[in-house]
Amino acid sequence: MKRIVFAIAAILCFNFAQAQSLEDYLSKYTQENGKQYLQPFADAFSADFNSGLFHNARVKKMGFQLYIGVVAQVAVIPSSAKHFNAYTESSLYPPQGPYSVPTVFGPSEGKVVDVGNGLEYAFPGGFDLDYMPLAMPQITIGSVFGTDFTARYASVDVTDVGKVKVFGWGLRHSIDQYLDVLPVDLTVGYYNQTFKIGEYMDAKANVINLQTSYSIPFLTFYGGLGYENSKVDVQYTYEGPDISETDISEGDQISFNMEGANTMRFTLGLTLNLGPVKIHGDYNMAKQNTFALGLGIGINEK
Amino acid sequence: MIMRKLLFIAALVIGMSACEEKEINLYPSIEESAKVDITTGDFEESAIIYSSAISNAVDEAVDGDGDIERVVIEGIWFELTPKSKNTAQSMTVNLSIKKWGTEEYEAILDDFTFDIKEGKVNFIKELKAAGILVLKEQINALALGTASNDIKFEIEGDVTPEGSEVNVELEVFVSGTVVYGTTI
Repeated sequence: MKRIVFAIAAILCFNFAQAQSLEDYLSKYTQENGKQYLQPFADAFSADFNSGLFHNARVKKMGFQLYIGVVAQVAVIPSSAKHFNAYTESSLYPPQGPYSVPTVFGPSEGKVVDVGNGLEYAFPGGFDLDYMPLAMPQITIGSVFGTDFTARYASVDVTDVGKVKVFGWGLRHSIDQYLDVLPVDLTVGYYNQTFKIGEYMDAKANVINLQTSYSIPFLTFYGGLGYENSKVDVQYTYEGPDISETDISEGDQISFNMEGANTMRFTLGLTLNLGPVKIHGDYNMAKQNTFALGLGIGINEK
Repeated sequence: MIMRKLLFIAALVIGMSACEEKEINLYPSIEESAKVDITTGDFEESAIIYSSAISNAVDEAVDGDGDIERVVIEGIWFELTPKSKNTAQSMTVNLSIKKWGTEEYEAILDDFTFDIKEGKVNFIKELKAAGILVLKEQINALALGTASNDIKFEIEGDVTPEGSEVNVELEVFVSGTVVYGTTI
């Protein structure tokens, strides 16, 4: 688990070296507490992943179109995602609780509870974060029969964790090419993305959306309605005390999977077209809201 | 060239927003034990957790610049290992802890009877809070570096049936969590 925490810290912050000090952050959590502790991370991460995938809906029927840039996404962490209900985990007595304790995004101050006869139990704190940013390079190239292709890729070797790798692809197809009367551009898109942290975390996200845009000189207004799902698989080595109820001992492998919270997503955005330079930003409303900002070069696109 | 600059700007913006220095608390677990061999029917033995063992465990758990706040005592139990010569079936134990600076002991466990078989002996429901408080104070003083005394337990009791040959190894385990703050 400590490597997962380190990896999360690495994602949340560029300062990898200092993030190594977090190695004992979650050492005492097993499956259920660990899952709930990390669930907001899965939600925010998935929401980030599915943001910033497009900045217009204009796809030529045939001809060269290219966008290459960097997209940064920021998930706003709601206050409801900062605590979860946890139970004590001990081999010496039955679980006690529930206690409202910090999630990975919650306050850094954990919770110490009295479990009787002079003994106590400590629940770890969180990273005390109000938002979770991600950034990745992106390329969109087209178009053939009104279809273009988008790819995202990044790979970083992180000491003690392994390779942190992001890969995503997507296709979108112009609808307005069949509907001459439409005053706006309209496309339908599908995107599939994966994120892998060594052997510890494996995340997948899918989104299908309807995209629309309307351009005037220098500006493109765009929006979209999407349906998305995501899954995060986690596995780590447990380092806490033995737990007789669940037959978990120090050194055991813990694994679980989490579903991202988002299902429907509504996007509103604006692109500033400065010749080939594209600056775009959008706001995504879903169970987990996000901002996306992008900066890139676009050729033959608006 | 333009792409490199774009990447740099984006990285800078995200890096600045996500990586401000902040204080967080960490909660690593520690576990230490003291072992005694019990070879007489009516026994009175001392088991010691050395101060250096606590200090080393805490040092190992806490990163260099960590600022220790406290140690939370989360569990205490016996691990029992009967030897081949043992014929006793059960034992009754009083466990107490020596208070520093005095010759007095504070009871942690009073007349607790259990079967002699290999494995963990859980007596959490029988614990005396006053004895755990002394243990907590001593471990915290060692963790914070304000004392350097050893933690001394007294284990006394007898076995059943009377006159049977007892030969067991008894280990007193204490587990806890170190709460410390650090900057990331």
